Amino acid sequence: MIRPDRFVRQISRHIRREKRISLGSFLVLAIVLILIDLFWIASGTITQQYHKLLGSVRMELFISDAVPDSALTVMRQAVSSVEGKAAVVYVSKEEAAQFLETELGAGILDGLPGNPLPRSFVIFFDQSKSLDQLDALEKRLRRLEGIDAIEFGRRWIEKVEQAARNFRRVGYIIGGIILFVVLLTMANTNRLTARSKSTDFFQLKLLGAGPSYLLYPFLAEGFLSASIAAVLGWVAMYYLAGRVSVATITLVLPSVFDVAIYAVLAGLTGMAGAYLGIRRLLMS
Amino acid sequence: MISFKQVDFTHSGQRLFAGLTFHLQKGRYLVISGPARSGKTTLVKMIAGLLGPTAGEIIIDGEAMESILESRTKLRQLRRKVGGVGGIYSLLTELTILENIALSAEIAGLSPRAARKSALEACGKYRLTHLLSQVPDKVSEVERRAALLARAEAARKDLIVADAPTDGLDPQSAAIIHERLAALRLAGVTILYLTSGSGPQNGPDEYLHLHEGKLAP
Repeated sequence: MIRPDRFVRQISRHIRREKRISLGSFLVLAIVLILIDLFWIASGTITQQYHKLLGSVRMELFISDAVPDSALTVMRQAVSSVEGKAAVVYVSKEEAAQFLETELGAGILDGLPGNPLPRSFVIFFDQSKSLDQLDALEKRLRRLEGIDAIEFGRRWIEKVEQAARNFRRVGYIIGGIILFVVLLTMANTNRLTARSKSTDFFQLKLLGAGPSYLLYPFLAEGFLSASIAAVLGWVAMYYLAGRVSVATITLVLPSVFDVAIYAVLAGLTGMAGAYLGIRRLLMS
Repeated sequence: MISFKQVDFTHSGQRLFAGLTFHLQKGRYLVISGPARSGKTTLVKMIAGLLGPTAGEIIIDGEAMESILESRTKLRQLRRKVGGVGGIYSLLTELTILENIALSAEIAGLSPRAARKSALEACGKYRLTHLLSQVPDKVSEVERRAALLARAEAARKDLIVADAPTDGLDPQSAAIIHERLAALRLAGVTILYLTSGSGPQNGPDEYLHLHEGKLAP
């Protein structure tokens, strides 16, 4: 097995000798990995916005006029038993009228015989709920006696979910393409590196060197260069994210642990690319 | 050590060897001379397992080349026994002279410590101690060739193939190379020397001439 210190010296000499190829290969790797970083930030941020939107959903339960005020306490208790609720607010007919006038202007209800607006309970949730969860909850609450109607902006949520589903589909395709491009680029980059080392590679073969001298150093180099490029890409992303603010949207960046895992995965992809790059030289 | 029996080799329609036959016994020193393009380097490539004959048989260290070429392990074992200077053999450009020599010894099976010791000893013999940390590009041609011989010696190769090892060297430098080869022969190393000239005067046991694909004394 090639000694680590010799291997490190060999890499540094190679970088010094082939400055252009080494720097070019590294930059190409960093750029393709930054594509993944951008995709990661975009998906994280959009997912966060999606949950934020669903988190702002509230469910309004309109109470029948036939329900006497004395029954409201029991009703409120039943509504409050809903899982994941942050708060349940009772809105009287007067408060509903006041709210409507604030929104649409004073006197909007003038001329009507009395206040036609119903009383309601408004449920606020402490976390986002999917359409299926909201549908199930609505079904359960409808069984409560004295509830005339339930409203939670079903059509709006449906549209948001559809958009999220479409984004995920496109995301998988784009993610797949990016991964393919990364692997291809790494293989080509390593092929360039391998070509620049082909003379030494040939000499090693003539000496009777086995995979520990021929293959493993290449794999290690592929791993190191890709993982270093991955980490540097994230350093750049963190730096830029601190300088760029997009209106009220906060960019979602991965944790240090996630970056470490990502760097290892990038390194493994780099190894795969290195193997693909030198496979022909190995076989020859 | 090496037997070529009725070896034919045709490349791009040109018949390079036609029934080439010779035997080089272990510990012997053979010089094969021949004009340019007579197939000397092809011979080296065949011994290194880079090319196979079109017909005939090559046996190295009791093993048929046909069987060696079928197994990567056998091919690696063969190459670990063969050292070379000139022709297809050169130093690794990214390693220093010492690293080049030690690495070859390590690949041949010595422990890293033993390989380094052996490399340092060989460098001493070839007067390369002042160049240990230099990369091959920074040393002269004669020093590079001396380092190749030192590499083969440190790795305790059984066979050294010298393909025009003194081409382009001044007579004094060529004499040093010849001296070292003769010393290696005395130490029991088998040597095959290929040249377009007459080859060394002292040391070799046998001289053959390669002409039109055949060998003759």
